[in-house]
Amino acid sequence: MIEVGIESLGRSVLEPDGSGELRIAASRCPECGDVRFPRREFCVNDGLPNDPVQLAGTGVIYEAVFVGVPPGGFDEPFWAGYIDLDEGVRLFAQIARADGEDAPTHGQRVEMQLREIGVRPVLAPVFVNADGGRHA
Amino acid sequence: MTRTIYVAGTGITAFGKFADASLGSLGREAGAAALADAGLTARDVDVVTCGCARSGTQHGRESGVGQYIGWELGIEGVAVYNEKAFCASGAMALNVAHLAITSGGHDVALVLGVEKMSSRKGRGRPLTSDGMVLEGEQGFSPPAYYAMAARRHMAEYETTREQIAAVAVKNRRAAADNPKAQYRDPITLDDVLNSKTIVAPLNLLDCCPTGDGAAAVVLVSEAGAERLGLVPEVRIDASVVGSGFYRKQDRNMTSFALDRATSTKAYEQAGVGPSDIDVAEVHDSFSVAEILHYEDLGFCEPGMGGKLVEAGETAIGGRIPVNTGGGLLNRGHPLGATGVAQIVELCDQLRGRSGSRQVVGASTALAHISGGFHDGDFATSGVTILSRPDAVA
Repeated sequence: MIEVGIESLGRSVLEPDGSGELRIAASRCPECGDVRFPRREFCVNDGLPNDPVQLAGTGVIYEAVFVGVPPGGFDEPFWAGYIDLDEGVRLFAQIARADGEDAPTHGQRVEMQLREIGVRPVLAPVFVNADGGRHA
Repeated sequence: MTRTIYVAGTGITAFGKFADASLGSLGREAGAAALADAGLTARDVDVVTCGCARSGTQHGRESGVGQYIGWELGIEGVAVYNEKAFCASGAMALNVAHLAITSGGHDVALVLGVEKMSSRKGRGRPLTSDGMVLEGEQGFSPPAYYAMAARRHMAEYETTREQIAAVAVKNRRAAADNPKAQYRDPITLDDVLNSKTIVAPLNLLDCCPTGDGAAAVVLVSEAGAERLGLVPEVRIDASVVGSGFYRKQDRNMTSFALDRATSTKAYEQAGVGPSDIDVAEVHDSFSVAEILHYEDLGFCEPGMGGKLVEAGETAIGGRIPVNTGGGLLNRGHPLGATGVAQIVELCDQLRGRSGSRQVVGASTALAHISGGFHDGDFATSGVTILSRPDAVA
């Protein structure tokens, strides 16, 4: 499976943690604590090399929209939006809803799952309701 | 700024979808029209700047679009600068020409903006964004970004869907009187609200089209105008571009620090404020964008943009008419051409030659453009302020 980031950045933005589970790869400044995704080598605030960190994949929805006419590479409409992760990172990702689940809302707690998206497809973080997306 | 710079002439092609046109033919038509309008020839030009965003991916011509158009026009032996700054490429070309003349090294600049998109791959789908490649892998597109901004604005300020649609209706009304515009048939609020949903809440008629077109302006220094016997009517009072702000991640999508910074610098440079602006071109790639930009440009208080358009204050005849040529939504948005086309429209307004869409007595004008995305903010934006000194004095 091709992981997200390989085509656009030349590297996956996912990496295995100690138990082999794929996590979101980010960076953290040892001085100011600024956490960035995708991973950055240097902190723009302090000029110091950042430390690699992995994100928990939990946060809240800042904003979400239903993409009715998707861009090239996607055949089906989808929900997507900006997620504010608990470590202070805001990232763009698709949002999955269980059948019958209400539309995503501002501030809704979500958590990451890894899913295949798009026509190719690629493996990417997709956010679901924080109870694992089982709840309708 | 040590040198006074004028716009001596302008030219623009029709915007639309022209299968037989090329970057060379479009640029030549606009460039020749601008030189003729200025009363100059190709031999008078001593620097060329050219904005074109997607020549590489769409035409296999990554470099040298300005040289190509100069060659078409018979311009030889001069400095040529090619600018790629997303949707703001034309504004960047204007800024570079302004710098070139300000430096004292040049007196007559031909500024070109051109794009040919009708033959692009992926027609019928939203464009992707060069600055958001990782997000693009996950389905990001500019309409998704602006749809999120629209939802935020609606939630925070009770802006209505109808107010957002009113931008599209207003700008289409203006385009009806612009023979160069891509879409001119009148539309109603219902037409906008009932058109196909692209990214909710934005529908097809809330989104600018892609297309082909070129625009050009000739800039001259005061010394150049004297030497060539020109009496230009429009002066450039500010030309400012800037890049985005990326340190803050939890930014509010209803307002852009970049546009606030760029416009503040431009107002300072020109020695005017928002209330002095008689007519404006504002980046309406999507209907809601115009509302956000009203607020960041200081045309109204934060949150009041929807009410401003609803009250007709930004229509021709209102307090501050915006996008009198139809805007990106209706004149069309051949990316690199737009930043220059905005200047063409404002010069026509300042010179009193806009016919049935004329803003009577316009003497100070502002053009604003946003260019691309990067890390969740815009990649660049540009603000130009023009005036007609004889009217101001």
